[in-house]
Amino acid sequence: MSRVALGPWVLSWVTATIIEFAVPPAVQGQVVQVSVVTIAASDRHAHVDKKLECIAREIQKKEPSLTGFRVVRTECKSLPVGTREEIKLCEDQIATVQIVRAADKNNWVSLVFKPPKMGEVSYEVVCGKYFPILTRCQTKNGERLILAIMVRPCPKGQ
Amino acid sequence: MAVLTIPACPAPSDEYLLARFAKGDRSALEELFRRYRGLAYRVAYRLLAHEADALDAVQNGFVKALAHLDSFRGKSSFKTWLLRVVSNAALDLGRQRGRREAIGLGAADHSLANGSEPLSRDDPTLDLQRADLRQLLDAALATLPEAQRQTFVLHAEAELSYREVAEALGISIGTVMSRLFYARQKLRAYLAPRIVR
Amino acid sequence: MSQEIPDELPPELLAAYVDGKLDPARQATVERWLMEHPDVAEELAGHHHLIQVWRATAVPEPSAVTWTAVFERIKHSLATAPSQPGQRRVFARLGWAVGLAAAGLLVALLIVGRSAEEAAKQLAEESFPVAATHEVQILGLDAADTEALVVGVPPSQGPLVLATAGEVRILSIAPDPADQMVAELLLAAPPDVPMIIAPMVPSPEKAP
Repeated sequence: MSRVALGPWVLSWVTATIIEFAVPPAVQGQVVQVSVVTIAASDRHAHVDKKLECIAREIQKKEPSLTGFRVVRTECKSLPVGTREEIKLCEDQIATVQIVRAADKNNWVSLVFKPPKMGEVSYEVVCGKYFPILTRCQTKNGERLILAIMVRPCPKGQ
Repeated sequence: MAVLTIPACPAPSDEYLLARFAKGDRSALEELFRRYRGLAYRVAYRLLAHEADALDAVQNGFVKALAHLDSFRGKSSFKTWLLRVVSNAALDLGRQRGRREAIGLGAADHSLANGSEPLSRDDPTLDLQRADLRQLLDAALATLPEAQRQTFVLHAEAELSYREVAEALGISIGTVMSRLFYARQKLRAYLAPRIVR
Repeated sequence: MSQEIPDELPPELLAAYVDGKLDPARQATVERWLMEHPDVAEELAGHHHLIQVWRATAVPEPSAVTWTAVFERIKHSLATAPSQPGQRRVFARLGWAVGLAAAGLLVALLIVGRSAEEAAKQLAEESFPVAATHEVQILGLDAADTEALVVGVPPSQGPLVLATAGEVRILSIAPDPADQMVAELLLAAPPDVPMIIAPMVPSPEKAP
């Protein structure tokens, strides 16, 4: 398993600048649905929400001390391409998301996601699948927050 | 530290994908299609013995099944229901277009009429003769009444249980079993002179 | 089943025998019966052989290109198919509902000409219509509040299906402006899934 730590800050600044001015007018107005599931992972219990069995298994491979997983909140937003929106997580924590490019012909969406206490993550992902981020945010109970983000095109007419 | 055994990630159920599809999720449609296209095609092909027609039947079947989900809800598994729709679409297509002769079928029968040796199960070249064998099966299936043919293909190709075939066709399990017996009887009668054991 | 050997066996039983679906007692009865009826035994042997021939002649699978073309046609057909109740998209219906409601309100005010007082009185006497589950889309919900939902379903149902390594491309990960911590991308060989992990304790070598 390889570990990849990316980029000096200048790369992210350049990327963000390009993203800011690179959205072609033709795609503005397209809307993408973003779903963010906020998950709390604990090392104090071993109950795993049935919905989270898959993600729990993957997280455990990297962080075996986390044994209990529960859904705290799910938030869905429909975002036009280019706008930046806040997503409520839990306990006043927020993340921001910006859609860079709506679904292409292969169903890939490009977005920038900024979790709390982290820098921006710029990535592309297929529609309908969740991409997890294990943050270093903790709840008041000491649970670590995991964010699972999924995008999909909005139904036609939106 | 607690040791936690978590089972392998479950694939999304058909019901979950259908719910996502109903909300406009295109990836759910893609997954459903990928999951059942092969099986649907094999059933349609056995009923039509023609690749292009079978693909049309698969296309028509998927469109009908997914455009009329309300008539499906909970009555059987989605797989069973889909195969019913696809097999009906195949039979409809077969009636409209006239069930085509399998490619090369005339040649196979002609060679037999000329007194060539029937295909032998122990023939070392059997692998090379699979296409001929399939064409013989296609011709044999064409001799069955539609109801027997559909019942037989859903059981033999789609490997649906007696109960699933009964649900798919809206008949009793006993009827499924008797149709299978008589279908096999007819097929054997057609194939016996052409295939030596 | 009785130990007596019957004169005839129904085709349903014979079909089940060929498929190996009989319990041991019935199977033994059928086998005893077949010993007395060699012609039927030969028939059923032919049925067994037929099944073997069937399995030996698998239908060749169409190519990936062919499947892609079929899928595109299916998508196109579904997109242009008449709307079915189970497939109505919430937002499209909402748009139509708002438009129709606005038009209806205008007609009611201009043509019907009821006074606001009379309309309010009528509204107070009618029971409130409740949205059906398919008419509501829950956009955000704390998991603890799920039980409070009377209609509608929580935003995320079913297992979370994770993107695999071939379904995610990371373009960049910026450091945290507060302490310059840079999260790590873990790429695992399939079937594991990629994910980003922010270390609780930043690695010393990564500090600016």
